[in-house]
Amino acid sequence: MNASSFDSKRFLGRLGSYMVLLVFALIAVYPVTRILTISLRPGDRLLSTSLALFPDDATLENYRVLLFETPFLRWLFNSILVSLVVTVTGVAFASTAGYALSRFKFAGKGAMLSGLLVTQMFPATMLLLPLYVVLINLQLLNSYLGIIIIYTATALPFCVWQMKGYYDTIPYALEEAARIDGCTPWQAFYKVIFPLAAPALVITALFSFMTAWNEYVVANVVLQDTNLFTLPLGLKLFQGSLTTQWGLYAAGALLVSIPVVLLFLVLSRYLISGLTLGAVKG
Amino acid sequence: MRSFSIFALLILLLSGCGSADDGRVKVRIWHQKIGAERAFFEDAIAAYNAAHTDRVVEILYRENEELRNLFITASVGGQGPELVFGPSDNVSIFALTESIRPITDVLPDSFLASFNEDGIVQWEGTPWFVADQVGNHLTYVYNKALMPSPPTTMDSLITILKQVQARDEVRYGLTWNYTEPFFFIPFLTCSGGWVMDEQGNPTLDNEATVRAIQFVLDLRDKHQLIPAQSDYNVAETLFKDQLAASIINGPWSWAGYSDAGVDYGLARIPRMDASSDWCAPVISAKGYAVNVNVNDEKLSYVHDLLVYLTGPEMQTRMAEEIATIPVIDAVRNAEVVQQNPVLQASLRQVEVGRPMPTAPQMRQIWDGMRGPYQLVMSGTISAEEGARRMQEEVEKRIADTFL
Amino acid sequence: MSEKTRFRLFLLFLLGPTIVLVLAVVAYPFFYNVVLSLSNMNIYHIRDWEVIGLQQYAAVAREPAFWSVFLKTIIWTGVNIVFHVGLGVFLAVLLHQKFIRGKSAWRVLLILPWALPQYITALTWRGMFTAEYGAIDIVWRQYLSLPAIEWLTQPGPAFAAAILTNIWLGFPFMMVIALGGLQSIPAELYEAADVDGASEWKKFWNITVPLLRPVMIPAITLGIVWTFNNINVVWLVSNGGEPNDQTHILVSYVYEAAFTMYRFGWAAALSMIIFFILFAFTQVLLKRTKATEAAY
Repeated sequence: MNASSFDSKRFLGRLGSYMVLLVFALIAVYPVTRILTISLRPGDRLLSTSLALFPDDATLENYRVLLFETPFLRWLFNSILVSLVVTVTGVAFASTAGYALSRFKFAGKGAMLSGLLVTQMFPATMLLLPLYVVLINLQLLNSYLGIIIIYTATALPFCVWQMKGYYDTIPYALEEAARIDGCTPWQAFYKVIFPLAAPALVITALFSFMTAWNEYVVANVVLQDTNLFTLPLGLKLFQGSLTTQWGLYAAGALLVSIPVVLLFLVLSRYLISGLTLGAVKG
Repeated sequence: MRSFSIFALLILLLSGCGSADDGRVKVRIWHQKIGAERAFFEDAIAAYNAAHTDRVVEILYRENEELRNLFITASVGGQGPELVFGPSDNVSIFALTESIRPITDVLPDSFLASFNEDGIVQWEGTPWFVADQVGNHLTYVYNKALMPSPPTTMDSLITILKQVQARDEVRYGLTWNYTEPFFFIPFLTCSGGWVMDEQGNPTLDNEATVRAIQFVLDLRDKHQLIPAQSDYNVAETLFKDQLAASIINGPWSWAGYSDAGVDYGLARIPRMDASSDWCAPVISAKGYAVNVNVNDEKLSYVHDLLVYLTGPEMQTRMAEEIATIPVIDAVRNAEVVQQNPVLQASLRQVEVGRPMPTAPQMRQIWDGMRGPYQLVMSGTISAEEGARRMQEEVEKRIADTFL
Repeated sequence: MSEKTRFRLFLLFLLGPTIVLVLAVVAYPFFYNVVLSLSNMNIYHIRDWEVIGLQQYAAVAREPAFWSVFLKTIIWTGVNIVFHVGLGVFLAVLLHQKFIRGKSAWRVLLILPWALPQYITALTWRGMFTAEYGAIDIVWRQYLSLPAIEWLTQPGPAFAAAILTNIWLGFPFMMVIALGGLQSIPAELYEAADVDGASEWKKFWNITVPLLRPVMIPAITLGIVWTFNNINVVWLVSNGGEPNDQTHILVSYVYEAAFTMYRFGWAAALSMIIFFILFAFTQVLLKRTKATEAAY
């Protein structure tokens, strides 16, 4: 009697969990299906009274034009290049700086942590003008190096904090054990702690990637050659002050999100590899 | 550590990008041409580059607002493209910020003499800008399948639209964008009003503005011929779906209507019966200005390019292929223009249009009118209140710009 | 080399690149803005501007709309963060349950709002709110038979529309952070709690919440700062402050002042004020959560 009511309660709990997930998944996906519909609609119409997923006159024309009659693939390549470099740099710098801030005591540590936060507090639009002057003087206008530096610096404060927070949850006993086994401080970090921080590294990588992937405002100022454009800049070419090529815009948006979804699929395996933490703690 | 060295290599590679220096003189243009006009422009530039081995022209599209801001930023920083293409509204701001040099530095009077007054834009007595077209004019666009002939007066507009709207499939007789005051100007002009006086002071809180607003509100509430809410995209979609029988919109939109399968006709926005004034839209020239940072060595290349891009030959081709209105009278009177029905309809509207004022206060006027116009159209405030608030908002904004 | 020197070099190696990079990008522009905020730079003085003292700050304080916009910014930030974190943690906890099948599929569906470019999703949401054509409007009136709401043309609903859009955009990020944090919580703790007969709710408050804290605090702090300064969504959904500039937050005022009115001095002064507000706020928050202090 007792056991069966426990079972049905558990069953209801599970059913409830699935229902809630389903509702939120629908909410997350629905606007995306609207974008899909717009991309399949001929004649650049943003709006329609029809709520159908596939319009009656659905066509892949927008995708064809986008892939074969615009430099979309070139922009895709540029974006991937820039975003990957930013991701690698972001992970390398944030994982090391976050480690130092989590593990060691040194003068100015508190100041540095809040200093990183402080950099995020100034409205970014106002930084553009002076940044532009700096880039001109350093001759970094119209080069990827310029935006890579800016993107990495933009992503780092969050990534460092994120890494620091995660390292804080890893017991110090692990390094002590490694040091006793004869590891140098670098080895203790690189061989023991770094792999254990995989979930946080995934978040850092994803965040750095997204910072570079969707960024528009800075790229718009720095890059002035259509061949160097990243995807967000390229997509904006379809937008005029009043008229927008909605079909191309929407098709582009969906294609742009595919690499992100793929990246997330690949990385999410590591997001759940919390590994042996518990064993060590116990 | 291997990943780090690969990374260092990548950085080296990346910094090398973007400096394709091959000894050719580079002339850059930032423009805001869209759709068919952009395609035409790209072809024209490609042809120019093919014909010259010692120089290369590079073009970059930027949306109007961004183009203006980035150009000023770049120019103040001692950089920027040699030429900038856009509507004439930007001229006074460019001139005030000393971002451009007079067009007469580049083009001789003998060349400019053939242009009519629409084609050369002056501000404070100096010509700054040479146009390749005049336009941006709002026009009355009607669905021929739903209404065979367009009205010429506002009274007949109301009568005709009521008949059309009696049909089941038609939801609204007329529609337009309720969020931008640009679309309100025609109603203002035929009610006897205008946005500013000779000195650039706003003239919005008066009987004429109230009449204009009241007329629009009557169309919506008394005659129920226009939607209760609308913005640019709603208006566009209503007309493309043939749920609205007519729309007020500009030349940039027309090609989209035929693509959507609407058999459309163009006509002047009707005249007001009481005053018999035509409801005149704002018209503005679109053309080129020269960056103040262009040095004298490059000037001759810029000159050559401008003559190619704005000369009679190019204006004729543009009129023929993309139906823009030329600003050289000889071209305007040429047979290609006279025989083209779309161009003729366009020209008829432009003939009664009001040129966009070049005063820098124009930006504050648009920005100040926008809010009250939206409140009026959403039924939040009355016509009198709307006129009063427009004036107040504009005055505040103009005062603000001095600090 | 002494032990101390070696430790210092190691620290420098770990921290150096980050410090250099962040300073290089942020320091100069920041001080440039400090000077600008004390200057008269505007459309009439864009090349020949000069320092005029604190006049621009006084002008910002005199601005009649300042306090109402400030209040809206606080509402905007507060509501968004509560829902971002609440929904994010809630969904992460649901997903983290052992029995859930197809975890990676659920995760990918739920991060879609983050994966698409904001420019496009924000405009799609604006489309969904429009009268006549918007999906929300259609469902609201036709399927639920509720009285029509003029979402985009009345100040309150327009602001609510922007907030709803931003909640949708922001919860996946917090969910991902929480998912990462949940990995570091040992399963044994829950098993021990089960043996003691603790309820789900008790386990959540006594185990999950305290152990998620170190990971969530930085994300929440930065989330607040970012949301406070997030111009994109408000700007795109309300089409630049419609109706009648009633849907602005402080940063959209900065943008408008700088780039449609070219009041650079004024915009810089307002930026500095925003900066001080956020600075004071985060100092208090960090003190109370002790996030800058070492765990060891």
